Amino acid sequence: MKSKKKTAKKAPKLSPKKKPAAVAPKISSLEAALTLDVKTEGLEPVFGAAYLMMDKAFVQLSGDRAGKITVILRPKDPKATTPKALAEEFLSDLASQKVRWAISRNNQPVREFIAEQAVLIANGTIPPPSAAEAAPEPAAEELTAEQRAEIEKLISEVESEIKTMNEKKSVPDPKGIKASWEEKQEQENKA
Amino acid sequence: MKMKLAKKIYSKDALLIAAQVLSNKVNVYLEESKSDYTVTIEAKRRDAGKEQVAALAGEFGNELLNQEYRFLVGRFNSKISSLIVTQTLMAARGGETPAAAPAAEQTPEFKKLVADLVKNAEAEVARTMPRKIADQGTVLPPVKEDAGV
Amino acid sequence: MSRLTGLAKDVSVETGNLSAFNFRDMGGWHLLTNDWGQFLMMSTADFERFMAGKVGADDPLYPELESRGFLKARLDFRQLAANTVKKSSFQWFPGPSLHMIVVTLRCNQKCQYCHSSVVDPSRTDTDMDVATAKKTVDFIFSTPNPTICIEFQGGEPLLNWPVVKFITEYAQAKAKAGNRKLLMALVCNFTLMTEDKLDFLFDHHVSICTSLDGPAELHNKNRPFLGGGEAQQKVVYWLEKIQERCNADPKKKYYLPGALMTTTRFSMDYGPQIVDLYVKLGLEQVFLRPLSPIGYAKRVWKDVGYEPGEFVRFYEDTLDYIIDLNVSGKSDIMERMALILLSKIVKGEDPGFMDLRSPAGAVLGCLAYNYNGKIFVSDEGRMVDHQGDPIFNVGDVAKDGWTSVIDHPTTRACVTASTLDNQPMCQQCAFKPYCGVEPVFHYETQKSVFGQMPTSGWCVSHMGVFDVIFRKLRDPRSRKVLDKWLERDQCRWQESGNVPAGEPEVVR
Repeated sequence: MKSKKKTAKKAPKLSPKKKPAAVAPKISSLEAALTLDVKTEGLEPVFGAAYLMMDKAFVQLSGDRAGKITVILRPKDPKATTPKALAEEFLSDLASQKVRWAISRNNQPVREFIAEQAVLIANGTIPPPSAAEAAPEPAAEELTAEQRAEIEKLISEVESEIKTMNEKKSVPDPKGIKASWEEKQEQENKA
Repeated sequence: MKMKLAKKIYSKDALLIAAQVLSNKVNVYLEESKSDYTVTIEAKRRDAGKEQVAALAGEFGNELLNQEYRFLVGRFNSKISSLIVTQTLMAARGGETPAAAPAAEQTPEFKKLVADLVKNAEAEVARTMPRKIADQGTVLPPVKEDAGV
Repeated sequence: MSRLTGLAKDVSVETGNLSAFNFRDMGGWHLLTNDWGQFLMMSTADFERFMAGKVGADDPLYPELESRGFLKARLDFRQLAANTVKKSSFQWFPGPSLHMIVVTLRCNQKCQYCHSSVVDPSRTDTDMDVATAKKTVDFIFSTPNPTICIEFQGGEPLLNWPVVKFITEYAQAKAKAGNRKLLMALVCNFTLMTEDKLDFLFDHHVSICTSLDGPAELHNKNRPFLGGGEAQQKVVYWLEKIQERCNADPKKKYYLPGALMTTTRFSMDYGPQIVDLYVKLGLEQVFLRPLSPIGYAKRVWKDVGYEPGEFVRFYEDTLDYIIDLNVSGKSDIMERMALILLSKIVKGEDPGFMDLRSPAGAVLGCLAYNYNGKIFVSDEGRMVDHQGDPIFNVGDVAKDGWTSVIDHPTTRACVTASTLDNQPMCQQCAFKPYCGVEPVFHYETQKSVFGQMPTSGWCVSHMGVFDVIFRKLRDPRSRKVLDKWLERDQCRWQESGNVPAGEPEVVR
């Protein structure tokens, strides 16, 4: 469907001009140690990637959640895997975790909104979509002015909701947890 | 075995929960300084060797991470999960006060029916159930930690 | 790569326009799912285009992505909310519908894996007495769900036949007086069945289910009589007898007996033979269930248990065999676990399976009542108590009301722990919309109701089964068979508060 009016802003690609320095693991015969910058990698992705290693490795973290975290990985079964393999797997998982967490953050208000809507529908406070509402959308050229207005209204409601969530100042956010990964990247590039 | 755990990474709540989770395998002793917790892991099994103690310490570290990451995720999803938990508990509760027994159960006919059912059942139990009860036998010991699970 | 799988190296990602979803690399293709129960299977090339933001409005993928809620700017909020309501219908139920009453711990068999930790048949001190039975039924009817399903369990319930009869008649009288819908089911080993008992059960609309682990050599190894002896013959005899009576009377059709098997280490080599036996006996479904290391089974796990991966291989091989039978026309037998998952995935419905819900069915969907009147979050919770740990005891019919059970801290802990948005790994898993975690399982195996999913046997086996099911859904040959199963809609789940159409006459 084509809309003549504005749509949500396109977020920048996850390929900044300045690539962060690759993480160089320190490998010994017993363990692998990776030091990660939380500002670059994100706190949740670091924890998430470390957490996912628990089936193969004993994992210990040191450092500072606001600064750098060192992840130490020791194989549970040295015959099944090596510290080097664990380090590689961790970095691979870290890259995926960054994407997963970015998607989660960017969509949290929408998820919460729909969850609330579900409760309201189930409790009968608002009606479920009718058969007419559920009908397939007409092709773009056939949209009436009313349909366009309805769509615009929905988009602006969600944008407003997202804006309100982001502007809430009730809790200080020194670690920039609320900022999306893209926003942080933009700030990094400007710095 | 001692482990030094940075307070800027790990919380006391996570430490306490991890110690409880592993309490069937280890004793955990806690000291703290301004910047760190120092945790001493002691295997409950007296014959545990160095490698086994190291593995137990590793398990403790993993459980710590499990709890810390769970806190992070819990906080992130708190609005949705609170909504779900509250909704399901409230719905299941069915209201503030339970419904009264239906009027049909208060009639003399119903009460008589129930009394007869009880009487007949008790009579049948007395008539048909074995009289002699076997010894209880040895009480099973608790499952060992290495039950292969 | 972790069990969640990950992205290929150097995949370009533009997350700004992507809606909320989880993904999974299925090896050559990718699976996308979202919290609202929608799924999409796509080639890896398409997935990478999608992640890079290269799927425009004129792309063939666009309509599917749009209609299933994977495009952020094109979400139909109300419809997705309605999908959530439908798929999570149990979240709105007024209380449990399934009530499992353990009328005795006595049993005449000594099954290798018995969770129930049974006792000698002479131990009548472990029978539920009539007074406790009455209080149990009173408690059950004080719970708010308009639909009640009472399931007799044990030990062997037929060893306390007078109380089974009492509960049946008393519950039916109360259902009639209170205008409640009541379903009743008996789970027994059939070795003590008689014609008189069968007459009573039929006359009172009690459906019957038994355990049938497979051919004689397997069943008798898993489930010998106490003191030795072969039981399988009796099970088969009564299965056939009950079927004969049901098939002779159209009204009894809905009471065709069911059978469940439990997978032990010994079952691993018998997949096709188990299915062949079920086919021979005319059973509609076989339920390939894993054994859980809970209660007594935990003690003997080294003898009867297996790794989760072994179960998944057994499951896939046996399911393949079942699908082959369907394709060849030799049988239309269905696999119940597949049906459960397909109902969730394809139909977007909740089929009433307590273990795979978020939150789990413990207390919210089911309760277990021990012979002594103690109330537990589930039958597994009762088994933990039998091993000496009362943590899952949430009440007593003699002194507690429904509100104190639902308000119990253990209830809240189980509900919180089994809500997948609180689970770090589950919240990112592609199977999240259809899966669930079981607090009692994790307490028994990992000493925490929350568990630790990367190392959880529950997680490994369930993810494995989901992988199998989605691969089957993508395979056209298998998909035809699975769609036919769904059309037959044989998922008459007694556990569900929503009783599907076609149930037997309601006792009022």
